[in-house]
Amino acid sequence: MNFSKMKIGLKIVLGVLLVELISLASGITMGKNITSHLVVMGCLSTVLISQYIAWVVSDNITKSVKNVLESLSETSVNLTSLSSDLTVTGSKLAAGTTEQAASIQETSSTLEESESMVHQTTQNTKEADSLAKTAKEFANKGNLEMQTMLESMEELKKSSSEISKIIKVIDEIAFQTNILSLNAAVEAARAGDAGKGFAVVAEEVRNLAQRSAQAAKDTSVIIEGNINLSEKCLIVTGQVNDSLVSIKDGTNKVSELLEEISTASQEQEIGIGQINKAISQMEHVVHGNASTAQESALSAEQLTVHTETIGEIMTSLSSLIYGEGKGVASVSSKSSLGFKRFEISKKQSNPISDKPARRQPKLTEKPAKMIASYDAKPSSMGTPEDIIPLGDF
Amino acid sequence: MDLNKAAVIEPRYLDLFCEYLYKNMGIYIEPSKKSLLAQKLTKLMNDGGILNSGEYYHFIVSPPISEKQKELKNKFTDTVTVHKTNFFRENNHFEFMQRNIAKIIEESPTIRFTNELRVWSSACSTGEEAYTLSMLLKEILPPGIRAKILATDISPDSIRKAMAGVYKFGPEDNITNYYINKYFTKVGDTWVISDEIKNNVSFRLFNLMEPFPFKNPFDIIFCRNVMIYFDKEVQEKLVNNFYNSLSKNSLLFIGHSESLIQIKHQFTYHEPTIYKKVSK
Repeated sequence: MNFSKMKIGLKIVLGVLLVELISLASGITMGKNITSHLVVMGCLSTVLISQYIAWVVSDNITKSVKNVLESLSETSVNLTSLSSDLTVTGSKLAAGTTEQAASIQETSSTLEESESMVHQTTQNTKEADSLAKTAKEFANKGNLEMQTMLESMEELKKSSSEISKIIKVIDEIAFQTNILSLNAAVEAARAGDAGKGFAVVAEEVRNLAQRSAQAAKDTSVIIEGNINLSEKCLIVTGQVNDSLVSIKDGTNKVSELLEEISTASQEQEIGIGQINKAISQMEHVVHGNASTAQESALSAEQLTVHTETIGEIMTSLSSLIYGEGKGVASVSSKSSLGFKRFEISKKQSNPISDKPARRQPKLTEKPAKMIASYDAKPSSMGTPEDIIPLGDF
Repeated sequence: MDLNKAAVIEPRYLDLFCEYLYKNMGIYIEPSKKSLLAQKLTKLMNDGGILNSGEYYHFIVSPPISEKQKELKNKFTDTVTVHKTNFFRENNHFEFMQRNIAKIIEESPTIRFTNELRVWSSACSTGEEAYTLSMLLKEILPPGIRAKILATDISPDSIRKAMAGVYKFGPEDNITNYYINKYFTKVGDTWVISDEIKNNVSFRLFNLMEPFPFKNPFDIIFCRNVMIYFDKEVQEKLVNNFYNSLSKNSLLFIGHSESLIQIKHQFTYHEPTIYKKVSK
């Protein structure tokens, strides 16, 4: 209902009524027929009375509508403010989850690398374990062979002593032969000319005996050297044996340790594998969260738009009721205050509060880290796709 | 999220993907790791809006004919490969270079004549290793000798990031403030590598399974934490290729969990994870 138009109508009616009243007054004084004036005045009075009744009824309605409109307007302002807050929170959440998704992806990459490294270490440890086992076998074999060698050395020492005894016998025989040859020479001299030939033989026998004695002495020295050597050999062989036993013990320990390491790194591998799986599941969830957050941020933004529309509807409704320029002020000023607050909160809000330099990310954009690298001017080499030729390399 | 419409990878196609990865990238998927691959593939399919595993498989294995397919393939490569890297990761290799740089130059048959130390970071990921080498060599090379670093990776996304040279430093980065202040510029909350370091590095997309196309041999090759994803056969082939791409007395650096002990090769063991090409 347009009250302003009604008021204009009312003014016209009042104007006409005034003119009729003046005419009636002048008619009475001049003694003219006043019936037509009375009829017009009667009609006009009826209109006036009915207008008055209408005005009283509509004023009551307007008051109630005004109250409802004011409450609605207030609610709309609150709603605008809340939905803009929701938009900001949604953006923050979206940015946060996107960042989280990026870091989870990085963690996942690191874990996968670690898993492969541990796997390689496991393989290497297994290889080392098998090498240690082979070394242990060789040490065992060496140890056994050393035992045989020790026995042989012992035998050698014994036989050297035997040889030494025999040499002594030879020496004695040479000594006695020498004496016998001397006796033979004396007997040959007694025999005179007939013994001359025998004397020559006796001399030869003496020479032989002396040579035998010399050879026996030389041999005895050599044998003594041999005995010394085989004694030394025995000591060294004993030491080698001890070393081999130590090697055997060492390789035993190495083998045990490697087996432990192998088992542990296998466990580690399994553990990392499980973490890896968990992380990639988390990655999946976080990616889901990121898109959900983005969706809700978008919904919140839409909500803001809708609330703004409600505000606008309020304004037009109020201008319809109060007329242009009246009553609008209460709604629009409030709503503009609401938007103002939204602007401020938008400026103040920062998705990553500890990084003030960072701008508010749009909902559809990629994580800042990726953007940073993409945005940066690539070097003169062109895009990766067109640089397959290796040029001056 | 509508869970009813989520993609599921069929076991038959999972096996086919394993085979494809082995043949084309040398990546051997252990039976225990198949479920992890399945998860990755499922996510890739969901992200790409493909619900049928056969359709996805054909998208990946056939040569790309559309931008969408190219993007799908790039995402696939990026997801199935691991990009873990840091500045000065496994630092004793860089310390070794610092200690032995004079010897490396002296023993090389070419560096003194070409005045170039040729280094190849063969699986550079997002470029941290290559830039670490570039910074280190800037510090330790005698005047007159410059570093020429080739950095390659199989993942286009990683190469793109490496070429941008924009980083964020986390607690796992072993980089000292000295290097950060000298060779990086802060832009927002990221750090951008300087041009003098960037200019010594050439980034290229390269699959280590392809034949090596190099004109000249390298003095140093870095191939760290790559062979852990390969089986013995592929490792042997790769190490042999590296041997043939190195000059005399040059070095091969491998990851700290790796060893060449189980494979046949011609390198001479120098230190744990450091091998030398002695003959030729």
